[in-house]
Amino acid sequence: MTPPLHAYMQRFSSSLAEHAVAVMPAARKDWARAMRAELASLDEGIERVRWSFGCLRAAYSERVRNFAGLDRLVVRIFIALLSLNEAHGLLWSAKLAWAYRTNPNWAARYLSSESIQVFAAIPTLLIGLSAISATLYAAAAAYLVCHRRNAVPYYAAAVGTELVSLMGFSWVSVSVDSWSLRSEVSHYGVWFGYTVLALMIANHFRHRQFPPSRGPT
Amino acid sequence: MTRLPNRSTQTLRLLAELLGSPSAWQHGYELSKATGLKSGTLYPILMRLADQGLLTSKWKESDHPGVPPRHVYRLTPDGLAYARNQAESEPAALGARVSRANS
Repeated sequence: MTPPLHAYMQRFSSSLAEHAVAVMPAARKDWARAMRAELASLDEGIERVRWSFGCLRAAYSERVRNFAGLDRLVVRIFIALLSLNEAHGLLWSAKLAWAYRTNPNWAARYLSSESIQVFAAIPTLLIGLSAISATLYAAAAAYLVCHRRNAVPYYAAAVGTELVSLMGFSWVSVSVDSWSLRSEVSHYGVWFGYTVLALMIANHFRHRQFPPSRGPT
Repeated sequence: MTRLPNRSTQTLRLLAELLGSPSAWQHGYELSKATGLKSGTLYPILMRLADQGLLTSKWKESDHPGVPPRHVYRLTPDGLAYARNQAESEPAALGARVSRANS
């Protein structure tokens, strides 16, 4: 490894570990410092980066577990409903994209001439990924209501799969706009819901155990 | 179905490693290398075991100047009893490693 790259990886891994210390809830802060302290004994750049990503994962897991808002069933149901809405939109998109190939006349009822051009370019793999993502969102919603901790990996996988399936294509939003059941009110209602959720999370990070205490103990 | 606590393969591997040298204080990186667990998996398990009173930790100053202190871990008496109990009930996962470590 070239010296500049090595130095860059050293700095990058240190920044990640610092971020992990900042994210970790106050009660667990010492553990994040412990993970950060191990970095000093790692010489190899790539090993340091791997270690720091692990620190980050542990810190965010703890942060999610300590998200007090999720203790309330009504909040979990609210987030689950948003997730199911997302799952429904993705499933509808996948169904429409598949129907475009197998039954174009049916699909044409929901698609404008511009949309049809988008749908013509969608690879089959993306349709499958969209359906998988929808299933993962639904599983996450169910787990969130029943067991809040177990929902996290499903959400992570769902968001990841959705991002991959959307890469380079805005076909999901095109198809969701064609969803006949979706009125303007429900559309804005969903965005209002996402905004409330984002504000709750921002509030959690802003006021609960932040800013982090400084320095090693 | 609710999972039993401390019965995951990763936890059993960690318990086996700690049980292998019960009086020694071990670093996180050392445990990671010995068990093959990545830091993102290892530390949540360590935290959980510490919460349950099965693991104790402390900061240890380095012998080398300029190197920051490191966190070290070992099983508590309760943790040792628990790990030994697990070794008896889970011989394939845990007992084999312990006997290898003791031989």
